Amino acid sequence: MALNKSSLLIRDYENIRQILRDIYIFGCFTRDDFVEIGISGRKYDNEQRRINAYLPNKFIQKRRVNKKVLQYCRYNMTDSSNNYLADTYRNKSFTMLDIMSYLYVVLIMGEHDELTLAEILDAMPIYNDEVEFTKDNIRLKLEELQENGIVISVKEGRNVKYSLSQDIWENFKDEELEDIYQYLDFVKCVSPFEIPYYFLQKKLQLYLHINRGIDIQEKSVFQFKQNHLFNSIDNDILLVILQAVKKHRSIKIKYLSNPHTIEFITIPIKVIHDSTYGRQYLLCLNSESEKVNVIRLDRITDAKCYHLLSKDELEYVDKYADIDSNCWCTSRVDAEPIEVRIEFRFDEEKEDFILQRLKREGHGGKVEKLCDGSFLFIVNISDPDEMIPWIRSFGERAKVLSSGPNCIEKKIAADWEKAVKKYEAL
Amino acid sequence: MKLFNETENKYYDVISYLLDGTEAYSENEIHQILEKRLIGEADFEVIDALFSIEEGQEVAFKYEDGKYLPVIKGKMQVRNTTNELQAAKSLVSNQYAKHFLSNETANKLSDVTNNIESDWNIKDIVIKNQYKFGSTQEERNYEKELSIIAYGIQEHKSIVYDNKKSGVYEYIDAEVFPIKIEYSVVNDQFRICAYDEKEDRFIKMNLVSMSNIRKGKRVLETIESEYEEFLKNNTKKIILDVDPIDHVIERCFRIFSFYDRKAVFDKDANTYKLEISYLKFDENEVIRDILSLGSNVMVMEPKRIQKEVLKRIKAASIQYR
Repeated sequence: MALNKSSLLIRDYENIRQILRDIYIFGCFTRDDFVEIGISGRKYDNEQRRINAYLPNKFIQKRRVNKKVLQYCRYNMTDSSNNYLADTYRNKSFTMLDIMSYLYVVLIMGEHDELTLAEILDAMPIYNDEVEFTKDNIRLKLEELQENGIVISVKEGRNVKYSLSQDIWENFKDEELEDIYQYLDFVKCVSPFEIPYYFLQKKLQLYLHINRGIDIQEKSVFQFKQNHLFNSIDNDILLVILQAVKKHRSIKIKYLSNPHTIEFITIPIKVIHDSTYGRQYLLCLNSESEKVNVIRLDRITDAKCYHLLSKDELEYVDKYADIDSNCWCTSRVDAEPIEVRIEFRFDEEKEDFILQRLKREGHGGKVEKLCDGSFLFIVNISDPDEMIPWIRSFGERAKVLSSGPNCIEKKIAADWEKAVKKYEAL
Repeated sequence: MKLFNETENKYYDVISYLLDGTEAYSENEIHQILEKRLIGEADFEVIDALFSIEEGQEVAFKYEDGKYLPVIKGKMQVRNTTNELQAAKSLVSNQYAKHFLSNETANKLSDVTNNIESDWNIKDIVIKNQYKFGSTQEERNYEKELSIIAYGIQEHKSIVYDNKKSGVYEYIDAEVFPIKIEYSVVNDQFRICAYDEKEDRFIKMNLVSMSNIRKGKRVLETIESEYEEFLKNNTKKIILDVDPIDHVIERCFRIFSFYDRKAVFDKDANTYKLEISYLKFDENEVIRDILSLGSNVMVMEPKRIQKEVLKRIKAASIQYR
């Protein structure tokens, strides 16, 4: 038996990304549908088998519709708050040398304050004929462990001494660690960047077991709404973008622009997370044309940090940092805001929640009482079209009075009329 | 450090878990722990390789007299990776910290993460369309209250609280059995799902309107099974027809992604059908979201909601004539 015979561990998360996303968000496509959008039958078979294996049975399920098998995810906020999609990040392939050097180095160094490479090599047990520890491969593994934060090194003269990194939980009381665990239970499900918190919670759970003899019950006290868990699928890409923003670097991106993938270099300004639909966007800048673009994160298939930004480029980033401040979300970031006037009519006594909604959801728009049961709402927005779903959500209680050249009042009126006709035709 | 990294692999975790200082494991004990900790399907190629009983093939355990013994004695040291350390650091400045951590714990966490260099900042993600005046902007600190409620949920114990809305209602020393703490990301509000024994019904309350929350003394062991029954009896279904327009399908499927859903794509008819299961508590929110999607999403079942939506759409349409 050998690890390299495993068909489930994968080297690159990109392999499963698109299929997993479609299975989770839509859950209505058959193998043939995937083939039709350009995914080979063989790739689909392999990746869906992996996805199926990574997730618990109650979460990933199959059913037959019109004699064809559909794979879909069953998430129900009242059943569990678990982000099962995060579990897919725990299947990175590894070699025997990887896992044995990790386990042995950490176990050996746990018994010593610091050790040289030669001392570590001496202490390595010899049990496995397939793995031979040498100075070269152990040095390489120690470098990787250093990069991963597990090990630190200090140079003393000609010698490099290695030790384990700090145990950050050492001086916390058990109850404090349990509070942090609970806090992570929340953050890992609501943060727009979930996976690092998910990993941290898993590691804290392991720490509590090994160091404190506490086995925390996994049953969560939370249930969540609008926590669009599917964003986890892009968290590895998101990390690279956040690193580039923090380190003032450009990024080289591969972007899926159907039917092709295009590659370009761009300057990241920030990431925008839309809570309503759970879409994530990268606000970025083309330094040559000085044009600000907004691109969907879920269309990026690869991202790498690239060149260090020049002084001019950094000035551009500062200049455009708040360019989206008048957007409802991300549409027409560079447009001048347009005034939108909406009349809201409702029973003030019974439907006070409408007024509260305007104050909470209205992007700082002004609310003015016209008469009993009638309020004028005025807001300035770059692209009034982007507000349409929000306005429609009030149904008959909202009537757009004006919206500049966008004339969204006409679009909404036409859409309501179309909807009435469709329902009446049923 | 890349996020998709082998040190976060579930097999690293399970072997570390087993290396907790236990001197030996039986085959059965190993299997039980693997079953409990490995989510998804077992990968026998990996398990057989990692727990080989052949001499010269051992990894972390050797097999002697029917027992698995660690090849190196001692406890596994648990250390956090760079990404985890940076996540720990960001917890301190997270806007929710005050609702979960005491000042003392937050200060300790701040001290131990102070020297960690972050190569990402969660604040470079701007959250849009989350409503104002929610718990992140709340001056009140829910730390103790959430802790009492969580304790009540875990131990099936009651909580006692006051809930007053001037001129509308006033509950003093009310007692309920909490079941879940619900958090809505868009609303940025906590709600408490609880069983009110006096009124024999399940309720949801905004945490912001509750005060003076303390531990109660009563225990209701059957609360979870009763809640399950309640969920079963109060779960409703709605079937939507979604027009095959890319942005409509996407918005519709995303907005309802936290509900239990089933979808069908009829290729010949080029239609999408989406069945959503929701709790009766949430019906107004579901209708609101359906209205937001406009004419491209139609309610097919139940007829009761179809009629209500049509009534509201007609009223909305008339006012533009």
